[in-house]
Amino acid sequence: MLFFGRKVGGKIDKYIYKASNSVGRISKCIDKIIGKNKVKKIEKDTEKNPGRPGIYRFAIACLVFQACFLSFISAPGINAMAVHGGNIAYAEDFNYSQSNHGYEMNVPGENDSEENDSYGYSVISGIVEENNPILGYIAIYNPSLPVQGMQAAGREEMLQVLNYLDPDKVDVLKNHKKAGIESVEEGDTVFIKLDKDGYVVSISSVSNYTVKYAKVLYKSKDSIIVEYDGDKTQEILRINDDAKIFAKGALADLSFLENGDRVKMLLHKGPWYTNVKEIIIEEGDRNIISNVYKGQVGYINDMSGRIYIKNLLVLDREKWVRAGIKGYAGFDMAEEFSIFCDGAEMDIDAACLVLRNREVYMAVGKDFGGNERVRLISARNPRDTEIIYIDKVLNNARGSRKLTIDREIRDIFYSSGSIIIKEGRLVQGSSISEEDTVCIAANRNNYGDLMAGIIMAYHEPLLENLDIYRARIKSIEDNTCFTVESYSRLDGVNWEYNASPKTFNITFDTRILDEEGLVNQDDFTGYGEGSYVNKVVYIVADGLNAVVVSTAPYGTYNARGEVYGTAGGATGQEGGIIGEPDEIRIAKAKIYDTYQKKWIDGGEMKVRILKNTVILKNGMEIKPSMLRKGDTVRLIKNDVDGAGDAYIILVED
Amino acid sequence: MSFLKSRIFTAPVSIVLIAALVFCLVPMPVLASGLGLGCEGGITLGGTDEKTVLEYKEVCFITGEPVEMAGTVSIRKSTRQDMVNITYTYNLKNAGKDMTLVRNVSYDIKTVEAAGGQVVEEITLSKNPSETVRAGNSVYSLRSYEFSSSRIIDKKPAINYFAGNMRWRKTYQVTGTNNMGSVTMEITGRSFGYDQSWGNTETSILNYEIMSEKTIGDVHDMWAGRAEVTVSSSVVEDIKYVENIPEQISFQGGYVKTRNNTSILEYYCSLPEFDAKGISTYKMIETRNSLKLEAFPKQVRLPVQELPHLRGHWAEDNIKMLFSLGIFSNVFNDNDGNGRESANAGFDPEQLITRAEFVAALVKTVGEQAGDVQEDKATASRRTRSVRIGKQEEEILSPYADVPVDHVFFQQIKAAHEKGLILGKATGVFAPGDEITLAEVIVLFVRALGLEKLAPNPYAITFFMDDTSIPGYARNAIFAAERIGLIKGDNNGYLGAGEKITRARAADLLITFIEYMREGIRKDYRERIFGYY
Repeated sequence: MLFFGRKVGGKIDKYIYKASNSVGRISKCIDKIIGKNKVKKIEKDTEKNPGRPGIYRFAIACLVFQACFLSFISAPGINAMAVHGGNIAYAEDFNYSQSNHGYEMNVPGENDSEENDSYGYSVISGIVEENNPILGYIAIYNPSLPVQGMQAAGREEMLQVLNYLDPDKVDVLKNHKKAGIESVEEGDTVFIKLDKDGYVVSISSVSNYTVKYAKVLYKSKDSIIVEYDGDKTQEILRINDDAKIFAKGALADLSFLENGDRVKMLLHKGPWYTNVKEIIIEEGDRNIISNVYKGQVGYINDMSGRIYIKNLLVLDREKWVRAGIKGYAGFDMAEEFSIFCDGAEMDIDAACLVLRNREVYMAVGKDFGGNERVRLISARNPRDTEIIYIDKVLNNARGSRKLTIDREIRDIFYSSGSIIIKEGRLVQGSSISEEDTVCIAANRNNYGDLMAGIIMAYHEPLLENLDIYRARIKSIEDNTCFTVESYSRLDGVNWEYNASPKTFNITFDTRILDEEGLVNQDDFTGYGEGSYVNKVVYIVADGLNAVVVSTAPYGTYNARGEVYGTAGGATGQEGGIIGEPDEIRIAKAKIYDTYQKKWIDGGEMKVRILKNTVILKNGMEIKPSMLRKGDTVRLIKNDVDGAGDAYIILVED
Repeated sequence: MSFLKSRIFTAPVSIVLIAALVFCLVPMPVLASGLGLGCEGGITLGGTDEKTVLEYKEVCFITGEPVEMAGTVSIRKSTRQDMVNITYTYNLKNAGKDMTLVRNVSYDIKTVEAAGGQVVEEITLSKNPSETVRAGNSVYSLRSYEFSSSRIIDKKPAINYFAGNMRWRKTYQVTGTNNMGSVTMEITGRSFGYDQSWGNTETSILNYEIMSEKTIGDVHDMWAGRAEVTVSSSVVEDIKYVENIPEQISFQGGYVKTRNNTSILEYYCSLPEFDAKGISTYKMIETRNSLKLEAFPKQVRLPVQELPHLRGHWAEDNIKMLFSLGIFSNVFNDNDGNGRESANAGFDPEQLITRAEFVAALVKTVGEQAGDVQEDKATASRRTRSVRIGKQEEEILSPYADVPVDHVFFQQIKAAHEKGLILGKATGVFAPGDEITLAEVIVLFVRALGLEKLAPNPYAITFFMDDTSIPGYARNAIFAAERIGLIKGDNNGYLGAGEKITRARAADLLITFIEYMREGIRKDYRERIFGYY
C-alpha cells in the first residue's frame, strides 16, 4: 500500500491522547511523545479500549496538521496520531466535537492495512539503541526501515521505538538463556516479537561485546588504567560490581589483579562509554620478571634480535652476585622490549652502536621452554656511582617521578628507563606505594642526584603463618585429626611448653614423614604394628591444620649460616630433578650456646638431610633441591659439631 | 634508514609462483590433516617432505608424574583411493628417569567436500596401534586404543581456517617387579589453525584424565589425576632491512627474509604424591612447565628495487618493501585498461591507484595458494591442479566484459574472481581503470580473510566520527577491520571511507594487511590461547 507516497507494509494504529504539550524532547537525537494514561485507541465510530500509553517517535517524513493546515511537530494542541511501525507518521489536532465521524480520524493515504500473520504477531530485528523498561520502551536500529528502495542515509532514519505493555511479562532470552528485561543492553542484536497491537511480547538478544587485550598500568579501588595491545592507547575503566574477574581459571575479585598484569577483557562499548563485563588475568609466568641482570654489552645483533653480555651479575637478595656464566651470555629479545639510554628510548638499530661496551641493567622474563628473554634494557652512565638502598618508601607523590625513602629521608628519581618491578611485574613508578619495601639500585651523578636504575618492591616473607610444635601423639582419628597430650612450641631458639592437649586436623595436604620418607595418610593410624600413638613428632601447623608431621628426633642444637652448596642430588635432562640432595653445606656457621645464650662461631658445616627432615621457606614446605646457594638458614640439629643431621631447616631470607 | 631497518615484515613463501599462475605446493610444515602435531600431544617442527624423521617431544603422565620424553618421530604418508594414510613411529626416552617409549600408530584421513566449499576430514585408526613404555622395572603395554577425530576446513580467498575435535582412550597393561595393574587415559582435545601464504599456526588444547589401578605388594592402589596440554606449531617469515656498509655500492641495502619455525608445548598437571613405597597419597602435586623446539632459521635475500625519487616520502619504506616482494611493479594500467611499463620515475606515489592495480597487488599479497588445502608433495601430486600456459591451447574466458584477456592484470583479476575475492561493480563489469575507495579496499581485505561475520547482525555501528558516512555495503567489513586492528581513525576519529586511495596509501594499507596476516592473527591462535584459555 501507499502511504504518503511510499510503499509500506504493516498496520497503522491511530490514537488520540490528551496532553498539554505534544512534544517532549527527550533524547538528543529523536523527538518523542509520551502518551499519557488517557491515550485512547481510535476505532471507527467508537471509542474502544484504553489505548497504548508509550513513547512514540516522529518519523522523518511525519505530516503534522494543525487546523487543517500543514504545521510543525512543535505545534500546540496536536493530540491525535497515526502510528506506523512504532513511529508517528501523521499527527493532527483532532477535535471531537467537530468530527462528523465521532472518533474516526481520516489519515491520508490509508486504504488498507496488512496483517502480518493470522495471529497478528510480527518479528523484527535490529540493534538496541536504548532499552528503558521503566519508561516502557525499547529503541532499536532497524535496517529494514525506512522502506524498501530507500537506502539508509542516516542512522536516525532507522531508529524505531517499540513499547512494552508490561515489561515484567515480556519473555526475554539473553544469549539463549532466560533473563530479565533489564539484561537487554545497548548494542545487543535483538529479535523482537510484537503482538497485533505492536507491543513487545518477547525478545531474544545476544551481546555484541568487544574483546580487547591490554596491560594494566594502574589499579585503584574501583578502576583500572589499561594500555591496549596494538595501538597502545590508554583508557581508564571503571570496574562495576557486576564485572566478573577470573584468575587462574577461577572466579576472583579485583584484589587478584596487580599492576603490570596482562588481561583479556570483555567490554561493552558504546559511543561514549565502555563498561567492563569480564576480566581474565593472563595465566602462567611469562609476564613475570624472572631476573634482573647487570653486565657489559658485548654486541647486539639486530638481525637475530639477540644481545650478548659479559661480566654478568644477577641481583639476588639485594646484592649483585655472579650469574655463574663465564664469557658472554646471549639473550633473545622478547616480542615487546624496550631499550633506554639516559632516560630516552631508542630502537635496536641505534642501540647496536650506542650501547656497545656500556654497562646495562636488564629485566628478563621466562619464555616458553624456560628461556629468558629481555624485556627492558637500561644503560647506566659509567661515570655514575651505584648505591644500593633497601628501605621503606616514605613518599611517592603522583607525577613527581621520585620516591622518598624512609630511613635516609632521601629522594631518588626515576624515569621511563628505570626498571621498576612490583610483585614480579614490570610496572610504572606510580605503582610503588608508600610503605612498600624497596630495593633500589640508584646511580649518583656528579651533582649528587640519585636516579634509580632498578626499583624492586616486595612484601615481607611469610614465615610467621606456620608454627612448629613438638609433641607426643595421644590419639589418632584416621584421616581426620590427631591429638597430642601436651606440646612445646618453637619460639625463636626456645621451646615453650604447654601442658594442655591440642588437636590438629589432618587435611588432604598433610604430609607425614618418617625414616623411610613420605608415609601414606592411610597408614598414619593409632593401631596395629605401625601405630603412631605415643610417638614424639614435630608438627608444622597452619593454625590447627597439620602441614607436616615428622618423626625426626629431638634436636637440641640450633645452628645458622649461609648455604654454599648441597650434595647427593641428581638432575636429569633439561634440569629435571631425579634425586634430592641429602647433604647441606653451610658457611659462616654459628651455633647457639644455650648456657651463654649467644651465638658462637661454628665454622663450616656439612649436615645430612634425612628423609624426615622438615624444610620451610616463605611459609611453605620445600624440597631439599629448592635450597639455593646464598640462602640464610637456621637448623635444628642433633649435635654441636660441624656434621650431624638436620631435623628442621628454616630458610630465613 | 633506521626506520627501514627496524621494520619486520613477512613475505609470501613463494613469489615466483604468482607470475606463472601455477598452483604449487608451499614447502610449509606438515599441516595436511590436523596431524601436523602428531595427534599424541607432542611437538615437532614438521619439515619438508625430504625429511621424514623429525625431532619430537612430549610429556608422559602414565607413571603418575610428568616425564618429558624426547626423541624422534618418523612419518610416512601414502594415498589410496580417496584416503590419505599417515603412519607415525615414535622413539622417545628420558635417560634420567630411565624411561623409554616406542609407539606406532597409523591414521586414515578421509576428506569430504561439504556445503559452501568447506572440507570435512574424518580421521580414524587404520590398524591397531602399538605402544610400550618402560619406566624402570615397570612396563606399560598398550592394550586398547580408541580414537575419533574430525576436522573442518573453511577456505577463504586468502586463508584457510580449520578447527578440529579429537578424543581418544588408551588403556595400558602394567607389569613389573612387585606391581601390576592398568592405567587408562582419556583425552579430549580441540584444535584450531590457519594456513596462508604469510605463515601458518596450529594449536591444540588437550585435556587428560589419568586413572591408575595397580596392586603394589599387597596394596591395591587406585588414583586419578588430570593434565592439560597445549601445543602450538607456527611458521612465520620475517623480513628485515639490512643496510650495506660500503658507500660505493650500487644499492644502499636490501631485505633479508628469514623463516622461523617454532613449536611450543605447555602443560599443567595435578597428580598425586607417592609415598616411600610408591603408593599414591591424598596430596596432589601441581606441576607446570613448557617445552620448545626451534628450527634453525633459514635466510634468503630479496631483490633490491632502488626508487631514488621516493627518498623522503613518508611511504618510501612501504613502497620499497612491496617492490622487493614483487607485490608492486612498474606495470600500470591506464584508464583504457591497457598496461604499460614504466621506468622507476613513473611510479608516482600520489597518483590514485586503479581497481585493477590494487586487486593485482592484493592477489600477489595473498598468494595463489590461498583457498587450497595445503598438502605434502607425497600425497598432493595426484591432486594438484595446474594451468600450463602455452603447452596446450585452451580457450580462456574473461569473467568481465571490460577486462580483456590481454589486459596487463588479467591473470590476477581472473584469479581474484575465481577465489571470490572480487564481485565486480555490476554484472560482468569490473571497471579496472576506476579509482578505488578506502571502503572498497577494506571490503576486499575482510573478504579475503573471510571475517565479515565478526560484525554484529544485522547492522554494524562503528565508533568513527563519520560513521553515518560509511556506505551500507562496507559497514560490516569496516566494523570487522577496526576490530582486528586493520584500520583506525585519524587523530580526530574520522575514517574517510569514501576517500579515493593513492598508491602511497595503498602501500600503507597493504603493509598493515601483511602485518596482520603475519603476526596479528597468530597472536589470536597462539599467545592468547596459552595465556587465557
